[in-house]
Amino acid sequence: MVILITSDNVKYVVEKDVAELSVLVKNMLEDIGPSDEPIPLHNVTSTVFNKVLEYCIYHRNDPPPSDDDEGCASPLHKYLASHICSEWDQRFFDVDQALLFDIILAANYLDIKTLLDDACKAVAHLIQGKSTEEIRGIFNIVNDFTPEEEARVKKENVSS
Amino acid sequence: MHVLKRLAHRALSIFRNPRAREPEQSESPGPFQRLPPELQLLCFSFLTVESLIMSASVCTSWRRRIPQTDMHPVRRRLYNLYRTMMDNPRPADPLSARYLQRHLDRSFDRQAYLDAMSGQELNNNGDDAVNNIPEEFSVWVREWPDRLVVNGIWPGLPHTECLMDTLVTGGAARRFGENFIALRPPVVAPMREERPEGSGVIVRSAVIPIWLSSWPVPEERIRTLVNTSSKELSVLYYGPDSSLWYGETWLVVDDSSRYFGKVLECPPNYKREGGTMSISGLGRAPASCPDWIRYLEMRWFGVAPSSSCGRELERSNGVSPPSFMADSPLRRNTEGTCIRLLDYEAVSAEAEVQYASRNLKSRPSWEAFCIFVVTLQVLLSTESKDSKSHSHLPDVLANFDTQQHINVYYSSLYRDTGHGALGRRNALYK
Repeated sequence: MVILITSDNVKYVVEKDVAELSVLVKNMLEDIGPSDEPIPLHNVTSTVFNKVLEYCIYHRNDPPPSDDDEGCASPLHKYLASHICSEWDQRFFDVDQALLFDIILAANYLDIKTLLDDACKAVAHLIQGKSTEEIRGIFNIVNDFTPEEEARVKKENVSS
Repeated sequence: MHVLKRLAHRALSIFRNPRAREPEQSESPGPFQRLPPELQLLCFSFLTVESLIMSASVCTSWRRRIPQTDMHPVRRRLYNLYRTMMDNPRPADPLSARYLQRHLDRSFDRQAYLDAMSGQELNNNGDDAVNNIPEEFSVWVREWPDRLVVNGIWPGLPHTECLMDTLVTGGAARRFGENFIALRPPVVAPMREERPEGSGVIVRSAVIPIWLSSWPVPEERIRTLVNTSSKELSVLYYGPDSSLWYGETWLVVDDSSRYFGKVLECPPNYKREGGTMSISGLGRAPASCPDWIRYLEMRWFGVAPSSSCGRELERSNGVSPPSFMADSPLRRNTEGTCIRLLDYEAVSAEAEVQYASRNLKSRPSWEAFCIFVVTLQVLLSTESKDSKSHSHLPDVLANFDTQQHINVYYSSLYRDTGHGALGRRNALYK
């Protein structure tokens, strides 16, 4: 068992194999050796950590992602957002945007590669198939092109 | 040491804290903009080509970042192709735009198209089934924005047989020919290939026919054959077989072929010469064939590949056929370098006649004459039967024995195309 403390001082007791899905935690555990010392997670609130934990528990038995897919003829599948389409994952990432981006930041901080990838794929899903205008709306992005740039961008988007 | 490491972790996490960075975006902190750049880039790396293109127009910071994204290599090349197209635009072409708007199949099922392709086999014995579609092609089919169709090459356009290369638009992308690529489900056809090279063993490799083109033989050659009588010209120019060159563009999808993934030009008059894609056969393949994306880029610029199969043999017969990829579709119009997608239906028949007659008057040529005759025929055939007076037709008409020209022209044209280009193609493969 590993004790983790989130930034808002919530204490979690987590099984070691689950906690070690986070490379950050794994390294820290290696560094401090066998000890009951709680590990502080400075950048993660309990709201976000609940989600992260849910993901890690569900995926604890997944085979580790291999960095070099030698046997795979096409590395394209690594780049396809559609590959998170397990129903569970879809439901898992069906959260409001603020939480989704917090999950990305937490996954990055905790160094959980699969969660980071999957959460980014979920973001890509939001962008996929949308028009520029829709994307701006979704992410509340201000169109900051100068009129000249804007004209050029517009032209690119309609020309054939 | 351990403490140091932990400190480093913390320092890194602070460094990664988006709130401390990107001051230029602080006034509009959309949730996405709060992500540090490397995480934004990670999100972008899962986008399809179409979405990458869209995203590059969202705001300045996205526009800057999208090109830095770690894209799949094929997506990168397609994205670069898009940039190339944008940086080297063609003249505005409302007719093509309108054609696309009217005829693009918005519900075209890209995945179904690819699925129907894989698994097809040539011999029904399963050993030559298509099991590996070139990635350049499959990603293109799946992700390329259909509004950016290059030269009418797109499976989601209607499958059309264009009996002529017209007219108002100055001639171009919609070639005299047939867009095989738009056959749905897609057709996988056999190509004869000597494998290994030089062995004399001929096998059949699977290809996807992309386009069938035909061209009239070059004008200078015609001139040697005819006298000034335009009636005779008709017959000779469009006479059966010998005065037209046919050629097809193929994409090789047989992964045991050395041309896998390459776009080949089948030799003109492939069947007549009994050609085979090999050194000894008629169709010596060019040293470097373009792959799919390179081919599209060439189509955009109208560049011919360095050499083309079959050309050498034809040359040794004293005739040089036109460069298959460049000449026929990329005729230049009078304004310059316009390459256009023709829409035969989109313009009125009358407008075409008028255009053609103007063209004929200002730049008389054999081709202009043929175009004029054909437009006229189209107009006549669309006029209501009882309307005998074509008073609105240009005066120039009076100088021609119109109906006779048309009859001669059309009888030869139709005799030649027989059951349509597809029928002819099928005959080729028998």
